[in-house]
Amino acid sequence: MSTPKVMARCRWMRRSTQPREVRPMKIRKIWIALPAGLLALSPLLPMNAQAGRGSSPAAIKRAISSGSVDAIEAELERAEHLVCASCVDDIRPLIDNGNEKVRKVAAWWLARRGVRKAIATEMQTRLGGSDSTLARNAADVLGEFRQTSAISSLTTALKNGGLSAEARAHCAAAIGKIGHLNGETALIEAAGNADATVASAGLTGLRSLRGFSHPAAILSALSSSDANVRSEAVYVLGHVKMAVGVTELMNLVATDPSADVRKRAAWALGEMGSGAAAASQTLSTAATSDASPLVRSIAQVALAKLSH
Amino acid sequence: MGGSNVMRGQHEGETMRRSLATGSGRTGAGPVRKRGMRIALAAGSLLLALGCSNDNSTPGIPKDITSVIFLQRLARNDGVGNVFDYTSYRSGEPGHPGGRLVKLEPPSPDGKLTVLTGDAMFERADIMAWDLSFDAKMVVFSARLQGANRYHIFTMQVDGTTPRQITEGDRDYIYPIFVPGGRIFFMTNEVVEPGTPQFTDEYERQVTAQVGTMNLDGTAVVLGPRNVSHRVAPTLLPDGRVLITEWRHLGDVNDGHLRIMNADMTAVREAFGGEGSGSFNSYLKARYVKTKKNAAGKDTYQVVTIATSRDMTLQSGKLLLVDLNETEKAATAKDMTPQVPGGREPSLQGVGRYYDAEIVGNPDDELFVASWADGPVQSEILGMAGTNPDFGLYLLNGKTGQRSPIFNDSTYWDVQARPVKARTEPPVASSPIMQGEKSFTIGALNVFDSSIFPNLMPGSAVKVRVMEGFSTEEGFPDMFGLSEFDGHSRLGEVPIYGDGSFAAKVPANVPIHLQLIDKFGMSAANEAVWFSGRAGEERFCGGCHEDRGKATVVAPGTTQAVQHGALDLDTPRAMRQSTSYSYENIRGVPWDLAIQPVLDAKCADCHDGSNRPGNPTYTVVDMTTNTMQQFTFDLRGQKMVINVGERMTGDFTASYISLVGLEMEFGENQVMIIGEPKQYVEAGSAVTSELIKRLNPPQRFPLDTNIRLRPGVLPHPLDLPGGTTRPGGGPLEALTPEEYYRLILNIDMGAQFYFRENKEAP
Repeated sequence: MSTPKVMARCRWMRRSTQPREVRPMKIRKIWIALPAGLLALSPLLPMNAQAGRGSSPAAIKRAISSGSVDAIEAELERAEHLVCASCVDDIRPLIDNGNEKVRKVAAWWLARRGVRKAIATEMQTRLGGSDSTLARNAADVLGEFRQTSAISSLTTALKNGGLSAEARAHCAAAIGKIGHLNGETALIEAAGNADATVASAGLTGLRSLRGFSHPAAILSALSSSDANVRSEAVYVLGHVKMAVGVTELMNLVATDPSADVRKRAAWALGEMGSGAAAASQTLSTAATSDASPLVRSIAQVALAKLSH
Repeated sequence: MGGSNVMRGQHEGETMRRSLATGSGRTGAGPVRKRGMRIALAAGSLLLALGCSNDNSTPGIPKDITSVIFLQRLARNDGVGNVFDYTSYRSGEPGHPGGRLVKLEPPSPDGKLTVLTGDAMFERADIMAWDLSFDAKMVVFSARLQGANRYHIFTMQVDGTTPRQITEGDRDYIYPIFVPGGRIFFMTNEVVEPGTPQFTDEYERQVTAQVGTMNLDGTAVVLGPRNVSHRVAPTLLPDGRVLITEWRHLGDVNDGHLRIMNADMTAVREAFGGEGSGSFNSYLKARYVKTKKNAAGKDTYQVVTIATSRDMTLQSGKLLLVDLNETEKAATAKDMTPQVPGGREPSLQGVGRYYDAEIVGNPDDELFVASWADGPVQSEILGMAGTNPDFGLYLLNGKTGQRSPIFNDSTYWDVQARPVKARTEPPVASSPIMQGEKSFTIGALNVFDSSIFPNLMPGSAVKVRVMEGFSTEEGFPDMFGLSEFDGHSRLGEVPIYGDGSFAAKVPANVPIHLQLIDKFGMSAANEAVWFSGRAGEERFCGGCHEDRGKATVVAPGTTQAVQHGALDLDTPRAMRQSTSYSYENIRGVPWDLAIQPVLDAKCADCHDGSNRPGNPTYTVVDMTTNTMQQFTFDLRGQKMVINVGERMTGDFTASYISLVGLEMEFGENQVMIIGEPKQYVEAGSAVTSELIKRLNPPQRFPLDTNIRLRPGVLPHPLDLPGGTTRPGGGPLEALTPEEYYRLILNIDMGAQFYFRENKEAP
């Protein structure tokens, strides 16, 4: 065996044509009241960030302790390639952070580690439990992991009435994030859920599925008593751009009590182009007579699109 | 001197809290002190100012600037730390006012403040960017209304009347600016190519923003060609072109540089930041300053821009005065705020950071209305302290560094100030678009004319390899492999003719990556940037990143490539996958499907992870956990679990890890390596990869197995001493030309494991 060789950086690291990131300051504690002296230590050199490069265990700890969502996101993104087994212990608890962005960036980082499989198993177990907060967080993690294999357990949790609406909504969002058509049935079912939060999340998730093309399956959501659900359903139709639900959308433009829904329904008809030519008069009326100036202006835009 | 003052009655009885800094400071030269002061005292000091001016403006404000419009966004310390965070601004939450557009007339601490977005529909909305029309009568802005999830574009008269929403849908429409011809230029994360998900960014986290244009009423939307990552912060130049910040990401390139394009989104090219013209990671929020003449007597433009790190700086940093000089290589910059940090480190008290700046008055005087905040404008420090940066408006003298306060409301960030003043509408900058043409045509007059490859000799490259790029939005669960390269697929290779020219038709709106390849099929020159063009657009460059300041003479009047016609590489997306891994049909080079069979057949019976010559070993020790793992060279295809360092997911094969390396970043004193690991593959560069040198490929163009990369050297494994028989029996064999090419193409495209061919089914 050759002589032991200690390397601060592995020689596998690719050669860069750009200056490397300047190492973060080695400052354990930074007090806002004493910035000048401490900050004088910082390098005032040009910096070139490389994706996934330039972090350190100390920088990660410092970002987490700052409580700044921005700092945590920035540092974990920079730590994408960092070899740091001990960092797992710092980052893993963040998947139960109260801030969704923190949970998600922690899950994103952990998805790139060997510990991913164990965490995925744990998260799927959580989904089978009764703690809604844990289930919500588990859904966020599995969404970030983007493993198709998680769709089944997310679907089961989505249907579990024992979990809070928030948790189930996060399950729907996670299925959408995974983006695989295997999640289509679950999300269509969720779109019809009596709870508006779950239904909205199901409709939002459908728009993220790669290749989703069954907008007719969600038409019933257009008559939901909840304006947000109606809006999300309208977005699905506009997103797919197929001439589906034209009559229903025309009714919404003309009669919905929510200006947001009327506005979005007008937009969706415009997205369908010539396929929604039948909506011409409805849009024309809305463009001139709707009580909301925003509905009027969007209806005008939609009207112009019908001829395309 | 300065202070926080409660001012009443400034806007129709509204109570407003302003911190009124009436003193002045020098940029980064010392602290701007703030003390409490009643408005009566402030008024007294202002009287002094009045004595020096014909109006009530802050001293030094040019007389023709009678009012400014600016944006007030709720002060915060996160959500916009990243240069490309444009949709995560919190607003409208209980207890928080929204953002708003306001007019200050005259531009002074006691000027009359009028809220332009006072209509109830904008209550608690956030507004992220805005622009003033050429006749100064109309405003366009991007806002997220209360309860909405998306930013959309609105217009209204400059007095705040006749508000109109002109975009809708479940996508964001941001950064609107007026461009000539009655159009609005904007960025959006809307899907550009129907049926194909919009790209995610280099971290595979956020959907990227691309460019688009539309009429002033929101009709006739045209979405522009895509970059693989974000495009933000457009600004108009006097010739009608638009300067934007584009996140560049290809391999190790990872920065936000200024790029320029026509207002119709054609002719995109580099403007500032690369080729040695810049020293900082990101440049953003550029604004036109003045027109200058370059050495050739041509108009060139000076802009002011923020220089900063990509993250943690709340999109603020230094102010640079940049002379674009028509070419990136010739562009120069002057740092107007030398003490302000250009990286992610916290700024000092009295130094602070700038958010943006707008030239006012005679541009030669270098007077700017700038947004500036004192103290450590950096997410981590602000998070620890639980405070927000307080961006206020200041008049900055770029020559002296003197900074005089104009307005500061500590509830808000006071940013994006623009004088309310008509400006000349530039001509429409556009390139010819061939109607009915679905492809983007590219070419060069002479690829050997290059400012970035000065050693590229005529004849040293024989073809241009054209590749498309994408991110994981197509259904890749994680990254593509262990290098930083984006997803790649080879569209094809086109000949370089005797005069150095080439031409090809490629898919429109798709990021394109070019490499000049040599007679061995290897990249001899890699242009580490994505570019793209519109359907029907033709873009012929003088050379390969040639000096754009010089004239290119084509003799005898056209190129050989044009005479032969552009080779059509524009096949439908569904067909852009390998149908086989032959030279003709290969597009992606999935490691397990295209490379591993070669390794299994010709390499793995020697390089099998056993302890024998040819299988070097090293050990990685994770000092943080005292765990270790031994790695032995192994070209077999079994999945390898990495249990040291917590970096790997176990999705890659022993062969991939042995050849490409762990591609880890080791922090200080965390890892000890025992033994000497070798880097056999350099992602993106087959020609410098040890593996390829050792295998010694034959000449590919034209094919001649007697001509090798290393003349007179036998290709591995035929170079092995003492026999020509494999351990398992049978003769040792060199790779076939097709097999060589697979390896070369994989490495040149980033040495990734996953391609479209082996990703999960959709």
